[in-house]
Amino acid sequence: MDWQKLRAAFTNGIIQENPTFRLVLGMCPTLAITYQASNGIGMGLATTFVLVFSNLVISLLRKAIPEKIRIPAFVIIIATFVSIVEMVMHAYFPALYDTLGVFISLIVVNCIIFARAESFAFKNPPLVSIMDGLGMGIGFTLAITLLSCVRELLGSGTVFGTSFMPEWFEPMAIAVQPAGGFILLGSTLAVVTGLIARSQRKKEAAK
Amino acid sequence: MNLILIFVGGVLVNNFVMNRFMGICPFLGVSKKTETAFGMGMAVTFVITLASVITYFVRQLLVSLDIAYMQTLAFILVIAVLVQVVELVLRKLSYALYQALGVYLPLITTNCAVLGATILNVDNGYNLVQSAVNGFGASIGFTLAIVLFSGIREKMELSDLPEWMKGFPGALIGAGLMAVAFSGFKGLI
Amino acid sequence: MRETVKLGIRLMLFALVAALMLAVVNGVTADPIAKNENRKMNASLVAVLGDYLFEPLEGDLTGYDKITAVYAAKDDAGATVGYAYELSADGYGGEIKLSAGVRDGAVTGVSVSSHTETKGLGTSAQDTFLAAFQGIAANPDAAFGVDAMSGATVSSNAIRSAVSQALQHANEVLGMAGAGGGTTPPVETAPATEPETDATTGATTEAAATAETEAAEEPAADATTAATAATGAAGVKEG
Repeated sequence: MDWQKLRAAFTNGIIQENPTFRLVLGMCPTLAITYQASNGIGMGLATTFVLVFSNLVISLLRKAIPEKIRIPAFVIIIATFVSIVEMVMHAYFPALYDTLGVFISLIVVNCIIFARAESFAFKNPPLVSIMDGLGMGIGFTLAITLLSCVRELLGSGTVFGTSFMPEWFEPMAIAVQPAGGFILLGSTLAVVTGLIARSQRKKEAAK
Repeated sequence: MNLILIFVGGVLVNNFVMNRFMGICPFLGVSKKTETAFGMGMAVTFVITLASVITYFVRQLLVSLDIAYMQTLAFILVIAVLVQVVELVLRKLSYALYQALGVYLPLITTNCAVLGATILNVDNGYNLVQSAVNGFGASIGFTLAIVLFSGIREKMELSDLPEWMKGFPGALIGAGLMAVAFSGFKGLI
Repeated sequence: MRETVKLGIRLMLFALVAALMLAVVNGVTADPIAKNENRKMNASLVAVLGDYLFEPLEGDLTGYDKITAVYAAKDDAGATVGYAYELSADGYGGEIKLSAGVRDGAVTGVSVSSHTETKGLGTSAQDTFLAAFQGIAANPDAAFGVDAMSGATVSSNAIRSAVSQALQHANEVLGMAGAGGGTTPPVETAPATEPETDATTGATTEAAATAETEAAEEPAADATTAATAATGAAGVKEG
């Protein structure tokens, strides 16, 4: 049990290779549903579920899946777990299901899941694949929840439904619309990139 | 439902990329050069329109067998197969384009717009013709968005952006401004 | 060729296992899902009339292509208090599911229960639009007297014609008197309602006062505005 490796795989997904801010994957749901903080958490957790289980299954079957048909095989496995999430949500979390709508089904084409299946789960043993899936999923959840909080705050004056802004604040409707989504995501990315570049330069200077 | 309304809706008023947020990955990934963008758009158009037609029948079949919950799985498999076919056809017909699209061609499978369009056809209860028109409109809208955007990006490459704006941040903000323009189409119909 | 077949078979095997898993999960979740959909549908009925027992009315609905179901709202004593309609309108982007309630010759409320939607502007516009249906006389033409939502002409028209058809049914089949007069329940003046009810301008202030005190009597209207606010979270598709 290589705890170091497991821990590394986990934190990798959250920081070094955060799917949203560093790998720039899974943009569709990121932009589409982040107008409300509760959406961010819901979508993030659903995606994490699919990530963990599809990574696990693909890793377990990696010797049994011939290289040539790995893409269709991935598709089948991922689609199965997405369908499961869909049904469970529809049955037990109807409000969230209605809000997220078609994007729940679209988790199946979330580039993050495919990318991790192809580049990690297919080549690594199950336990560390689980950690990778978990890390990526939680990294994604944190990223989109952060973005949703910002957009909800600016666009409706609330975070998770509770009002945070002073009386005179006029919500910027554009923040919760498509255009605002693009711009805010771009700005957040710019900030993150800038910070990382700066810390890298500091490291260089310190050497 | 007026077919023209559905079409114009998909292209302008509810543009799949700018309003519905589908197809963002290729939108950001393939829009560096206009020729590739256009080629991608054409490939996507072919796939979505065909997929809309085929998935309509698949849905009928699933419903008649009372296994509608298999929809996601069935649809994505149909799309994956279609993309393979397009790949083979493109390789024979236009090797240059096939080369240019490179790894992005198989990625059409994971293009949210393709699966999204087919699912929306079902959700909206479209019949066969409506589904096809909706799919076609969606893909033309996608092509429009990606080609326009590539023009902007080509220009951006030539300008002097600060380091933290280079690449995706700048591209996203540019896309945002495009989205503002597209939102002006609301109320067109 | 043989290899392709072998690969194909293996793939089919995966697909089969996947299908089995899904069938199992479906077996578990099918019931709760059906209940949720049901609750959603009845929620729309409660939203327009109030918390009554809704009994579906059998009857021939040919010629009423926008009506999917008619319900009689019964109170605890079993008396029919009013009628609720489940309607389906051809909206801009697809089907709009809505409900409308009629009682004592007037519309008690209209509520949208589902529509295919992108997050957009005009949620308050939808609330305003739907609220404007409250209290109008239950005759088919009155539905078209309600001002459309700007920028959402197709959706507005769809909703109006669906409500109009429901009122037509109420008049012709249920024999509900829908002419301008009759017993018009106190008009609940929603915050930004169009001045549709100008006919009673003189009595508006009185009506408002009575509406306040009779707030308990109009659970429908309150519930409607609340429900439309909730369902209107994503606004009606703008044409």
